[in-house]
Amino acid sequence: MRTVVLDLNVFEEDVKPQELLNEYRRLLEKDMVSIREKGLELSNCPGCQSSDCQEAFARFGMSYQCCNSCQSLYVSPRPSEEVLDDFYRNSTSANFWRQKLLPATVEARVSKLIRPRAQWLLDVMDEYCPEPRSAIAVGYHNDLLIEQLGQQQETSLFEIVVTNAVADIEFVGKDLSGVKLKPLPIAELGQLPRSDLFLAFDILDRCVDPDLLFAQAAKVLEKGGLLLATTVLGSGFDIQVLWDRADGVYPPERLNLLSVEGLTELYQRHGFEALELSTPGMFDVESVRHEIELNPDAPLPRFFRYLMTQRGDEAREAFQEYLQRFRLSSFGRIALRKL
Amino acid sequence: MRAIVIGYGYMGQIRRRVIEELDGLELVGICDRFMSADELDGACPHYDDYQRAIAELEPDIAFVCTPNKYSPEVCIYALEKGCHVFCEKPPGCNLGDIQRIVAAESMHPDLKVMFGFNHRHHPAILEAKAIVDGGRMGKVLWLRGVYGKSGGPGRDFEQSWRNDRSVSGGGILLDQGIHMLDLFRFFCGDFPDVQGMLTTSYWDVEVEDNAFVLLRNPHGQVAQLHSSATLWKHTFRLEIGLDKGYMAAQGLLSKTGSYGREMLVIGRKPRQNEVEVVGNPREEVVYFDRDLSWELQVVELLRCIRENIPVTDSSTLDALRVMEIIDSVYSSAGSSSVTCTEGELR
Repeated sequence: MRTVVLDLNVFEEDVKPQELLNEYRRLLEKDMVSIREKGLELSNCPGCQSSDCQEAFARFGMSYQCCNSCQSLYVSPRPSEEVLDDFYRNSTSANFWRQKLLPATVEARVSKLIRPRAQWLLDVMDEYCPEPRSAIAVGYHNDLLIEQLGQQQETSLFEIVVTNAVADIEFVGKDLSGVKLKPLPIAELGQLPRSDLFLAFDILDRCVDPDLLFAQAAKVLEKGGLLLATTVLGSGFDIQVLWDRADGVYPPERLNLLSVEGLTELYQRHGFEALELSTPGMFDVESVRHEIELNPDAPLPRFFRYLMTQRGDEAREAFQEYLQRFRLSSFGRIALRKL
Repeated sequence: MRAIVIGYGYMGQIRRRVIEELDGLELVGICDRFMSADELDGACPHYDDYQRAIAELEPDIAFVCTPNKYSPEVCIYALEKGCHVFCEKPPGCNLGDIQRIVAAESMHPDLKVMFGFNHRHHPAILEAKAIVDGGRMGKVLWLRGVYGKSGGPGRDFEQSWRNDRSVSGGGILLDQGIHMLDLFRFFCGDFPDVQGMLTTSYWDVEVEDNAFVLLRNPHGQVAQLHSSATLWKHTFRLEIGLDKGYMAAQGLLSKTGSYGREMLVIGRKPRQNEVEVVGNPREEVVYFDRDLSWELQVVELLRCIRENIPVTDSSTLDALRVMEIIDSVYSSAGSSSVTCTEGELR
């Protein structure tokens, strides 16, 4: 199994400008009221499926549980898939994200996040699936990804079926050659034709039922087919240190913050082997430092306060690299092969 | 398939493990002249005469793990008795040895022969090869390899059969550098243009303890090797320069881990609009934690046997070509190799 360390020279502010992000969260908090009113359902741990948990903290009126078995962090009770699909299509905050935040950051996102993602996908394909015939993309931001794939791959791309609830919105005005838009509930993904690749970028953390998602992936993938995914991990440094103060932990986008152990249980349960499990995140240290700067009196461990305030960039960068190397960052990516 | 291990030193023991772990292989005997049956765990018959072992056990495959001097005669005998052969590298002491094996193989076209160039199957090398073959980083411009060891504590290194020319045929280049030369060919094909320099700069041995080899092929690709028994820190590093970036495979997953964690550094040449990272491009470091190189090679040999297809990975041709390079280095360096007396370099 591989572990990857990335040095991308990227700053969180580039892809998440604070002012726009604050406005987005303000709108999101309002939208969460109507989401809650539509009803919530209890959930077990999305990683190990244990029901043994304790409440960690609440955010936007919703309760985060910490699994006593695998230490994953997850929202329970949680909204249904239909409610969330409606949120991503029609809510004020989702529209703000698409119309304001995304355009303002698209250049940085492409160069710092999407292009490396496309390179990673092509590298994994080169080694494990050199000539895929088709792919199913269930995650988000597929328009940017497919553009990058087209730019980096000289030969023609495989056919991609995009299934997320806002696929048609993502691809407005975009080149659709080789792309089929077919929004489907997760439970119905299994009816798609068998495929060599299953791309689940930016969805595992916001998906209502990761267990069902993996079950469907196992159903539609050919034997030896690849599942590639990115997700936010609750075992990551910034989330573990900041916990209820963690800026990036909010529903409904972060319903499942799996630990590395929980994620491992999830894919093993559905008959996948890991070719790569990495946490090439770049923002953990910066997030903690930002919180210490904003709230000097926040009750955080003395050592981290010292590291963030008394030592220079070199020490902090090396610490971030250490987190990546030992799978302790909160951004995770996996390349799995169906057995 | 029934397998026998001939030569039960370090490599023989690794091969035994692989045979016992893989489906479709059964270990039917071990042969070692210098090891008594008591020293084995008694799980399978023990022989001290490989000819008697092959005659009595009638194995399908012989794993030849003997010192260099004995490998050719054992390989050839096994082929003559109808066995497929897996032979450790190097394939003998010199070019003549591998030529004899090639000739024997040609007399038995239904039998398969593979050599232990397992580094091709190390995970960092597999990933680098996949990226090169994918073509998105352009063509390989050059290769640079460093492969070396410390020789161990005290003067034990000097007593090893590997440094006895009459048994090994050569020094560190033949023992360890051969892997890197094989990798050069793995990435860039044949290198007709060979230059080399050898030194025996520290150890009191009759073979080289350092080799410097420079290769060039008709495509203009140049490869440079430093193979050393005086690196003090165990080192494996293969750098690959490409049109659109670079890669460095370094460290090796090994039993002791002494070569460091195996990793592949991938750096991509900055794009035109990325002026801020010119000279210090983004890098990705891939760490690996599982070495299947031993198993993958043998699985490939079994596939070739089962499907009766030619061996194209670590074949006799690969062994022949790499021994041609080594022969060329030894021949050209023969008159100019340097042996330093103690203190001369200080």
